[in-house]
Amino acid sequence: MAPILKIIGVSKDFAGLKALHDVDVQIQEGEILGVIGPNGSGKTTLTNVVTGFLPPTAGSVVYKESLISGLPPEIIAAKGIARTFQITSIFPNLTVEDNVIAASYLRTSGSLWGAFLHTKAYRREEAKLRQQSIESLTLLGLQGKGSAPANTLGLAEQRRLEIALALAIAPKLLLLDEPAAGLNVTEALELVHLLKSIHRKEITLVVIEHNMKVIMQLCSRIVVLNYGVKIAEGTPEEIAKNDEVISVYLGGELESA
Amino acid sequence: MSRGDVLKYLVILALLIVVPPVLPKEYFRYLIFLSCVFAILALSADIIISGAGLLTFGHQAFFGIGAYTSGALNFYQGVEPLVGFLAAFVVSGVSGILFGYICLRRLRAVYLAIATFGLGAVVFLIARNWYQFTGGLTGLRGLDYPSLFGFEINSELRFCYLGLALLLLTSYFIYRLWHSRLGRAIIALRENEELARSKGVSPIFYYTVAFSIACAFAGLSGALYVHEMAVVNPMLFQFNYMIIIFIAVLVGGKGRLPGPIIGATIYVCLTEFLRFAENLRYALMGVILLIVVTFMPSGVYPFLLSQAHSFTNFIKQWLRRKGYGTNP
Repeated sequence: MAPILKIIGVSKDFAGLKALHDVDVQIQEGEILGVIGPNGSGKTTLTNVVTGFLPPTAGSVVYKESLISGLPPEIIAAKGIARTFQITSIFPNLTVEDNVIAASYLRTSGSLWGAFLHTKAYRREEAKLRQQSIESLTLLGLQGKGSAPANTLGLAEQRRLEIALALAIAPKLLLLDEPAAGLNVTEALELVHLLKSIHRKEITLVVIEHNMKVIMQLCSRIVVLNYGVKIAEGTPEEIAKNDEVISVYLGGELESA
Repeated sequence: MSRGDVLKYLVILALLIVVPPVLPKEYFRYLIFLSCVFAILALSADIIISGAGLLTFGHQAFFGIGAYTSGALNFYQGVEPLVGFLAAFVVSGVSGILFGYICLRRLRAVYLAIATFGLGAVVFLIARNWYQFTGGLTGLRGLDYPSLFGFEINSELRFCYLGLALLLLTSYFIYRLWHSRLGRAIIALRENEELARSKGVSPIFYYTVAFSIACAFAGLSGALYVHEMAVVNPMLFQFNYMIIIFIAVLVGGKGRLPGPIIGATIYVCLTEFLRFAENLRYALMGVILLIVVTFMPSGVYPFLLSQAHSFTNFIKQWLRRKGYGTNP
């Protein structure tokens, strides 16, 4: 399989602090890649560099043969790369359904005049949007919540809504920044099933996570970062046996997984 | 739209047509016209304030730019005022793009407010000192009344209808705007700029568009205003009009269409009915506004809505107690 995304020699400095140092990662089309590492190891910075929220200090990011590093986030999103945020990020004052509709921006084309004159094309697109948003909410187990304001949902539901919002741009590649943070064991297990079902829709996943159970059950390959440097890469079994990984970070946590 | 909604809008429309001619004084028709002017202005500013969630302190500049576009075209070139309205709409909108593009690239929140305040002040100074064009403090006098195919809008009643028609058009446009792809992109940015960007929404583009639409309608209200007075002068660029906007939006209730309209009407009526107090007029108005915002912090319109809601609930309960209830 061809790599869908190539991260080539990427570095990111914050006023002298090297958040990322010469990181090379290739993401294969159709895989689920796990990114792990202790706090401050540069996982979120890597997500931000790939999705355009931070320009890299050095190196390049290539998506499907085209250079995307340095482009603004909205252009990268339009190319088919979606993300979620470490701190759950939704449109708080809109209803759940309107959240999904607002996030479907890239899949719509309606003109202002169509809306103003209430044309047939406008009404057709509106109906399609509502329908798609209901389908998407059903897939994520949020059926029946469509008319609730998004900020009244519980944390686990907000997480799922955020994934629904990411899927609304019809991505080819989805980066999830700590999707299981703050979830209990049952909720984390539900999340694993959910992500597997998303993966079956031919979406390549990158999962940044602390929860080793989630990573081990989900990922076919794992990249380990420490202080902004990639220290290991391999299958979950290889990572679990890697002495360096165990010494810098995982230790007891891995054995319990 | 349900049948009840249609009925409601038809009743409002009928009232708007029937009420102006039967009012006892010419003066009241003038007040309705004035309310329409400031309602359009306040509604346009609310696109920026509530719609895009940005602070602006320079919206009066576009009121003035619109006023001068139509006024100067009529004064120097004899352009028909209704064509001037369209020109005012376009010129203000385009200035809004420039203004927005300068201010919105990086600035947000209070920094944006400071920048827009500065630009508004600069525009005022230019208008006041460029007297060869603007006519200085005396302005350009003797503007024509608008006329449509020979039908001249020359009485308070006709101006009143013109104002109401433009207000309805503006309200409908803004209402539909928030149900369009463009409006939703603006709302998404207001709600969560970072998240909106990750969904493909460009902040600089959509914030500028929101700004420009708001400025275009502000320009329209300015043009409407000066052709009734038949004079345009640089005082229209003054910060006073921004204060009127804030009063109308905050007292009326922001974010909902009736809010700024009610707010503008309250402002116009207060300034006129407090004339008896002479020099104390604005002090009294300040006290009244303070009382209003203290007891109705979200504005008069939301307050009235909640009162109407509890009143109908009270009636329903009373009917139920009397045994007329529909519920078993």
